[in-house]
Amino acid sequence: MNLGLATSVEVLGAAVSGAPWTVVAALVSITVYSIGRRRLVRGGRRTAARFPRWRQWSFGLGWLGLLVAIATPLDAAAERSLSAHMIQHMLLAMVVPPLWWFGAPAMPMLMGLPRSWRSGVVGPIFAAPWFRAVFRRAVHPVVGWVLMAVTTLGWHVPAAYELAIQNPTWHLVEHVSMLGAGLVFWLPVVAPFPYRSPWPRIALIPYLVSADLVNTVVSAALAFAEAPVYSWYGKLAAARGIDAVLDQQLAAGLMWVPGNLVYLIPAMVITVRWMLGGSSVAARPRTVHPPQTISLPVLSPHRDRGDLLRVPMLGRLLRSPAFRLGIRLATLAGAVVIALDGMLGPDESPMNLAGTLPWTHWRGVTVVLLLVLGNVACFACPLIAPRSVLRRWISPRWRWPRRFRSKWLAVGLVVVWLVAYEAFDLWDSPLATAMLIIGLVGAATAVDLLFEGASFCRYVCPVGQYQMALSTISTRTVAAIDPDRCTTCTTHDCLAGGPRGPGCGLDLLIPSKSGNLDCTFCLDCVTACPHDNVGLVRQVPGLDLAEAGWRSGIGRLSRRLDFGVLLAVLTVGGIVNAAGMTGPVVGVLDEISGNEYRTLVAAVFVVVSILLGLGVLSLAAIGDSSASRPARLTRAGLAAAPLGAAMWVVHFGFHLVTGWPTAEASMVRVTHDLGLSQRLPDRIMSCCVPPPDWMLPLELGVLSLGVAGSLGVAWWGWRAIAVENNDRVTAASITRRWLPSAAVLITLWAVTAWIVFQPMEMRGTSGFMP
Amino acid sequence: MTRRTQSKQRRPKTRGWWFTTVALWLLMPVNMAAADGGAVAWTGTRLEQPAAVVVSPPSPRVGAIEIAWIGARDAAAEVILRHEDGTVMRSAFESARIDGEFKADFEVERPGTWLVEIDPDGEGAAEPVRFNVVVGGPIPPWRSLWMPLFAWVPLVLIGLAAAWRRGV
Repeated sequence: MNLGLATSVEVLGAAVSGAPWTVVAALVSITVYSIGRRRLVRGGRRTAARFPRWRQWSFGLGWLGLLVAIATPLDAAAERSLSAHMIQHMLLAMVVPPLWWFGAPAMPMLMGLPRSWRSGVVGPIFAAPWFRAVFRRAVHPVVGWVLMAVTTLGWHVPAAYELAIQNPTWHLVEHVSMLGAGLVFWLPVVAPFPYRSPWPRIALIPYLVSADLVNTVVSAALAFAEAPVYSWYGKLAAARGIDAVLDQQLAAGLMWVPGNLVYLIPAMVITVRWMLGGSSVAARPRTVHPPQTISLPVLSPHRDRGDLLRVPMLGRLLRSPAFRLGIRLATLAGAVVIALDGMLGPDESPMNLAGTLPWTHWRGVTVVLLLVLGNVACFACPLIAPRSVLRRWISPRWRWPRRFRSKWLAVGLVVVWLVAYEAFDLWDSPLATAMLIIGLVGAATAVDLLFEGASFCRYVCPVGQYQMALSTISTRTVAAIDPDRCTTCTTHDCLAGGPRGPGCGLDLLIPSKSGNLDCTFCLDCVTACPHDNVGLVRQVPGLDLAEAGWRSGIGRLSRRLDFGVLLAVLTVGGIVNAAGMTGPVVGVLDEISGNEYRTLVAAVFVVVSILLGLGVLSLAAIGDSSASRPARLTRAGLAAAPLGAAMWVVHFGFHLVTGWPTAEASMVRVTHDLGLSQRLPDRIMSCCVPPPDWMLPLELGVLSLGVAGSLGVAWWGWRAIAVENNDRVTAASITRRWLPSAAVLITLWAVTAWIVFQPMEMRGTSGFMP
Repeated sequence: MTRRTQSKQRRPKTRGWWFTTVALWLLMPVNMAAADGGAVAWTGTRLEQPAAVVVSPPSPRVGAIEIAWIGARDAAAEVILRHEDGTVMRSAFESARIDGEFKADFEVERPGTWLVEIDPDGEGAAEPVRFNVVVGGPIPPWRSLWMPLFAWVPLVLIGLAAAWRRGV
């Protein structure tokens, strides 16, 4: 029926728009539960019998009940009608909690989590005696009963109720307290596996009946009141055309009759079972099901790391060298078009392909893909397309000079890039962008036709260094699927190449490769491996930086100061680059330069800021002087990388969201200029989109993840240093060493947070007038 | 080994799972939909029907303010805000999220006392509703965004607690 469909869509829309984070939490939670339950069910018939499908439905219905309560028109109606508000409260305290508990979510939720979270974070904490002792007391039935009674009585006191209905914050507190009390109260009643109530089942009869008495007292007070108890409803009732007293009596009736049933039905069930089963009910937890264990199939050694190359269609395409070359040639064609427009088109960046696509769209999209899928930007890099073709006829003669086989040249080029970007406003000059593209393609081709391997990518390309640095906290990496198979391999085709194709141009041997540093995701190793044993698999983001051990092509990362400085420069550079577009910084620079020496002032600003940032970051190395200074400085640089990546994501994400329409504007202009379309380019189209409301919270959330990652990497770094020095490794001693670096990283985070609160220049759009 | 001993040995494991679950639920980022709330600023009769005005948030500050009209109104109805310094803002009514109600949204940029005037029938005969609203200064944005801003604090504490528990 149309009416039914429309209503459902309306309710769904209201839920999504009314409480988007709750919807996200519901989806994540149900997904984790489903994954965990599926893993458990694979564990055997006995385990499967513990988690029948109806439990999953119950769990989902619990979330649905929560969404109906707080994110549908019921929530709006609750503001004007006590009876609607009563339904909302009953859902929160009496319906949602038991539904969730009937889902027995403990095991499915745990098994749905990634293994590293279970064993590395959640497990150790929740196995701690102090934690278990606190929780054992927090979820005791006495606590549950008291909480339920206090919330039921307390929130119906007129002063408390009025406060909650008028003030959204207190309304939130009211709802959370009802849901929380409901969870603790219904836990011993439902007793989901593997919970064991400290009380015998028979004791739950007075538990439920006495709670029902509290419920009855409140509902009777409302039912027999002769005037509106809550003045809020009394004032608005006439305008809404309803009788406040009648509405109050309806609310009382709902609380009294269905509310009583919710308490009394389980009490009756327990009573009947007790009468039928005699004393066994009381002793059930100890005698009926003594072994409370289930099979855990996910603990088997064969881990599914979600290899993307095994995904039908997509995997086949990615494994194909022709497809990979085709992607690079396509992006090269795009780069050629952009460069042509940059040289021949108007010198107005928001209307020129060279002013929009590379700076706003390519950077914004790839920075997100870098984190989600890996180094997609290098995978699809147009710069190496010419050399990939020309090397069929031209073989390089030389190896890259030994003295330049480090990242120091790249560090210098990254600084030059950052200075040039700010001083010459590269993003605002289509011609400069075109020259930059041509220069990079020419340099990459020349270097890689003269020198073996991927020397340009590894030692020169400043863009590639940024992309490889960001991909250290990606969720995916190129790695051996079965490391045991590599131990029997003697040809090492992934490194040296073989009959199936060339090996790694960056000297990475797959079995001893770790993380994504120096990996361009070219996937040549995938083709070269005769055992089909290389995959694009999941990894723990940042783990590579935290361990910083020996790896192929790099050596021991913790001893590579050039890598540490590179990551530090990219982090500080990311912060300086973002700060350069904030209103206060631009204002200060304009004031200093007086619009005459802007280029010089901007260049000095970038250099001085980077040096200052590196100086501050070096303070992160003072935690323990027993280790060598280069090792500590390297660790400081590695630790800063997650925060730096977060800053780049926030910065480029901002431009992508606010400058998205400029792609259409510049493309319309090009098609019009070429005579392919009569549609005139609209200058308004090339203007900026105001940052949406969700932008700032999301940016702050990303920065929070970044600084948390940095603090974690730093802590692990100090632990590694202690282990290397054969020091006594205790949590307290490592935390002591970690505190100075934590202070430094938090300081840098404070700067990033300050940046996102500032007004930003809408660079690359016609809304920005330099 | 007796069954009773076995049961004693296994209990801590099962309790661990259970405590984990409870904690997971408490950590779940549930975001309740905030009710609009507000304060009843006026009640009376207009256009021969009972009417009321709700101003939200209940203690307005510089930023978004919603004025909800509950009752009959004409299509030409409008809300006028007059600041004590002479600033005037106008807005027509639109449908509110509660059926049968109407609202006018304002982005108030000045703190101080604003005279709110609601004319339910435009230029008609109905007497406009008038009342004052005192608008406070702005809330620093970091205060309203404390949750994403400091989300890293619990993450780091959880990580530290895990490391501590594992004994490194």
